[in-house]
Order: sequence, then structure tokens, then C-alpha cells
Amino acid sequence: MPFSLRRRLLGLLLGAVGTVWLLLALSSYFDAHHEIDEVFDAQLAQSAQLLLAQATHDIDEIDFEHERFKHKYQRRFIFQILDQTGHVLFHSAGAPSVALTSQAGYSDVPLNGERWRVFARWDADNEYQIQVAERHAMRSELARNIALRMLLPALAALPLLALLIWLGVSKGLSPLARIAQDVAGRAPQHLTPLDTQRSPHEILPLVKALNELFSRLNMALENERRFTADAAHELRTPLAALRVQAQVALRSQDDAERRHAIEQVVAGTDRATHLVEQLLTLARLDPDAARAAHQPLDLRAVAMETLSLLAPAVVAKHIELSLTEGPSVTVQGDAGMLGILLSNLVDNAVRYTPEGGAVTVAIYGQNGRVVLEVSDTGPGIASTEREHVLQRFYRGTAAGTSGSGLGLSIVRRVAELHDAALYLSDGEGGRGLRVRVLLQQARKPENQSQL
Amino acid sequence: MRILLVEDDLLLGDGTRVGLAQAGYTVDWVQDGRAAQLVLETESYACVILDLGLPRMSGLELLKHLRHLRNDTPVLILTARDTVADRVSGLDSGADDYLVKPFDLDELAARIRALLRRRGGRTSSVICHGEVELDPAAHTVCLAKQPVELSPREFSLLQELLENAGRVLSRERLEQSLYGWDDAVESNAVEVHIHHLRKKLGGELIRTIRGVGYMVDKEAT
Repeated sequence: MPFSLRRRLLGLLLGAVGTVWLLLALSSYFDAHHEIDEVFDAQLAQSAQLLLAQATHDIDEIDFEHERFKHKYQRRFIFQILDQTGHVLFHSAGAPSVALTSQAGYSDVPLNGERWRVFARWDADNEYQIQVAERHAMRSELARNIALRMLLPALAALPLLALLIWLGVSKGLSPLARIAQDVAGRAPQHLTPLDTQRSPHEILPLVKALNELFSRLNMALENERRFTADAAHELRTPLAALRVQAQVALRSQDDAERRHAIEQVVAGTDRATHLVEQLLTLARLDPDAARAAHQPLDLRAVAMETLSLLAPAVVAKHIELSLTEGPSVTVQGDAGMLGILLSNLVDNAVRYTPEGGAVTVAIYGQNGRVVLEVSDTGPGIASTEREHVLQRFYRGTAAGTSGSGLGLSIVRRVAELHDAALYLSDGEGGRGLRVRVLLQQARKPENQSQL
Repeated sequence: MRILLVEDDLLLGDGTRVGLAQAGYTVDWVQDGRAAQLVLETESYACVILDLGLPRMSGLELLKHLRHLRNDTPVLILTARDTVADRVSGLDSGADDYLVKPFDLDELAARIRALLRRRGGRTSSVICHGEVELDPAAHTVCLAKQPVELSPREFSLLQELLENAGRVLSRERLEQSLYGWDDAVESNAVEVHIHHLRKKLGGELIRTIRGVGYMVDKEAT
């Protein structure tokens, strides 16, 4: 579900600012209330003293109710004057005829459904007591007004703030828009990295990830291009051979020569077919599809099936092909692909092994991994050359063989898709070549028998 | 004419060798760069046909090495690489011609003839010497406009002598140009072929320099 970053930021910022302002207003309300209480209490006390002083002389002459000028904050208070027994001698209009409180000093008292603040004190001779009271509500109203006065302009400024935030966020997000534009405007082949210098810290991880993706894509594309070019080039030689042999056959006067040339045409066609098949195999080793098909399988069974298919051709070359005895071993993988891997390894070994030689396949466990090993008694591969032989279309220095140059590339590819390591070394007693593929054991513990 | 073919592909090498033999050339075939280098250090060839993607030593390396040693044997590159950059680097490394696979045997033979002709400093493909005319492309020889029947070996021998007119060619040199490694050389083969040539073309054409070899006089131009 796509959402707008700008709207989100706007909402968050406005929410945060609003909350802070409200807290400030609340705090100033309480603060003001407290101060107002102090001041009013002091004045209440003062009024009490004043009234008391006057009351002892001439109570009747006091008229609080009919003042001519009234201010909205003018304090309206009531009072009572009591004698020592607590009897109300006199009370102002609106004051009850029973004592408001029995407590001396400040107290809060309910009266007519409102809260009143009362101050009670005795005169100097302890003859009369005066109780002065005023409504609490007035104080709260005053504090509220102070707080609101603070809050209102801020609330009025909120739309302006929102506009500024909106513009600011737009400005702040402009690098993102620039990068999006950069990526959107690219041709599919244009995979140069984005400029990390001009990217802000916050989106640098994204830019770097994109750049990494670009470079991986670039490599994949480059691989593809090179593969196609290599493949086309590799097909040229067998085609040239076919053409030349056919021409030789056409113009030959000698029957044996013509026959030889035509046989060569047939052999050349087989070889070109093999090359095309190998190319297709390599192209079909699609990593995503491959990994999905991995499951526990019996490697020995795969090996037996593969070798039984290869055996007739190998035996015809007078080469001994064998699979060493051992327990069945379960690995995680794709049976079809592992079969391709093994048949390429064996095919390669047979190709380079002279008549009377031997090709041996062994399967065993080692350090928690499963080793699939193919050794031959051929010329082997010099250690300096082992790196190269895994590359596409590389043929060993032992001239005179007619491989496609793809066999070991296919082996490497299948190994990669199985997260398997591939090792080339000298064969038994330094003779021939030994290829070892280290495969993963099957994940399910009940399947790893005898390892 | 003896040609060195350097090609690691068995089918293509075999076909090219037979095809060029049909065109009257003696072909030695090696399958890797190092072997070609060794052979070129000891034997001389009229022309080298060179594949570039070779085991042990690449064709370009071999070519540069050859030119470095001031060996000016004409070299024709035969390769699957067809980009302009590939051709340029091949020619700049000292190749005389460049042919892309797959190719036509007739074109290959024609290009070899062109290389040999240019090496002989001639502009026309037909070699004329007095009344003798030798056409390498048609594989024919005429004496006073009349066709003369020659065996392939006699033809090669005459071509070698005519192309090197004014130079004495030793018997060994002539033998080399007539026979590849696989051919058995009869002890007095060159003498026999010279004898036949003299019978067919007159005794004046080929002179014997006793103890050194044979030569055809350079024509006064």
C-alpha cells in the first residue's frame, strides 16, 4: 500500500508541534492557577483583616454589593462575622447564616454546588471571627484565560506552519525525486552507478543497494553478451570444418579420400550437435528454477543411473569405468542436474584418457559434506592451467581432442547452483586428473544415513 | 609449394590439409602454437595458415614472435573472430591476410596464391619466363602457347624455381618444398623431376650449379 511520505511527515510534525503546544498551555494553566491562588489567597487574607478591622467599629456601614464600577475580574466575595460561640452575628448578602467553616486559616468549602475558598481569622482579642469566601471558579477562569491567550495565536499559526512544513518536506525530499528521475530515465542497458556524492545520508543505503544491483545486473548482462558471442564463435569452427570437408568430398577424385571426407562431415555434424546441446544445457541452468527443485536424493542412485547410460560408449573406447562400493548417500540437490554434472565429468575424463586407462567414480562423506569424485588416468591438468579449464570454451593443452570446451563450465555451473565446492587435483600417484565436488548433505537428519 | 597449417581443430585441420593438397600444395599440419613455433624455427614454408585460438601459445603470440625474429613468411590468419578490432590486431601483428571461418576452400587457395604472388613481387598471377607460362590458379603450364602436361610434383618444382628466378635453390630446399613430413622422399627425386622438366620444356630453362643446386635465370626486363 503506497503512502505519501510528505503527508506522513506533515501529519507527524503537526501532531508533535500541536502536542507540545497543548502541553505548554496546560502547564501554563496550572502555573498561572498556582500563582493566582497565591495572590488571591493573600488578598483574601488582606480583605479579611480589613473587614475585621472595620467590622469591629461599624459593620453596618459596609456596602460591598453596590459598587458602581464593576470589572470583570472584580472579586465578589461573601463574608460572615461570628462570635466566640460560632454564632453568625452578621453576614453579607449571599452568605449563609451558619458558619462556612470551623477551621481557622484557609479551607475549601462546598456551597450551593460550587467550591468556595474560605479564609477564617480571629480579631486581636479573639472576640470575633471573620470568614471571607470567594468562588474557586473565578480563579480557574482566570488561569484558563491566560492559558488560552497563549494557545490561540499558536493554533492560528498552525496552517501557516503546515504550509511551511509541506514546502520544507518537498525541498528535503528533492534528492529522492532526483534519484527516481535518474533511474526512471535510464535505458535498460544503462547501468552506470548512481552518484553517491550527491545523495544524502538517509538514502545512501538505498542508493548503494541500487548501485550494487546495477553492477550485478551489468555483470549478468555482460556475461550473457559474452556467452552469446562466444557461442557464435565456437559454432564457426565446426561449421568451417563441415564446409571444408564437404568441399573436399565434392572435388575429390579418389574414392577413399571422398569417403573419409564424408565420414568427417558426419563426425563434424555430431560434434556441432553436441556443442549446441551443451550450450543449451548451460543456458537452461537457470539459478532460480534450479534451487526450487532441490530435494533430498540418493547420490549413489543418481551416479549408477548416469554411469549405466555412459558405460557402453566408454567400454567401446577400451577404458575401464567403475563406481566404488559404499553406502547410499543422501544429498540436497536436483537429480537431473547432478546427473548432468557427473556425465560431463566422466565424459571429460574419458575424452582425455588413452585406451586401456581407467575412470573411477567414488562417493563418500568427509567432514560433514558429501564428496563426488571422478579420477582418470589421462594426462591430467597442469596446476597453472586448472583455473582456465573451468572457463567456457577453454580446451586443454593436450591437443587432438574434440570437446566442446563447455563440459567443465557446465560442471562448475551445476556446482555453483548446489553451493558445492569444486576441486581439481592430481590423480592417484600424481597421475591423471581427480575432480572432487563437495556437496551439501541432505538437511533432514533421518536421511543422512551412515555418514 | 609447402605450406604450414596451424589449426587445433581436428576436423577442420584434416579437411583443410586434404583440400590444399588437392590444390597441389604440400601441407604440414601442427595443432598447437608451441609446435608451430618449433617447426618454423627449423623449416621454411612458402606460407603459414594460422588459427588464432590455439593451445599452449596463441596464434597472435606466435605471429609476433615470428616477426620479431625477422621471419617474413607470409601468414594468413584463419579465425572465428570477425570484429574489425580482431582483424586490425591480427594484421597489425604481422599477418598478411585474414580469413574468417567458415570459409570457402577456393577462396583460401586464391588468397594463398595472392600471397605467394606478392611475395614474388609479381602483379599478375601468371608467371612468364621466356616462352614458358605457369598459371598457379589453373594449375597449367604452356610452352610457346602450347599446353604441357606436368605431374603435380613437377609443377610445384617448376613454380618454386620460377618464383625464385635468379636464385640458386639447393636440392634440400627443393625437396622440402615438394614433400611434407608424411611423404617418403626418394633419394634422387629432385634430379628425376628436373630431368623430366628439361625433357618437356627444353634443356636451357633450368641450370645446374654443380655442388650447390639449381636455378632459373632471372629474365632481363
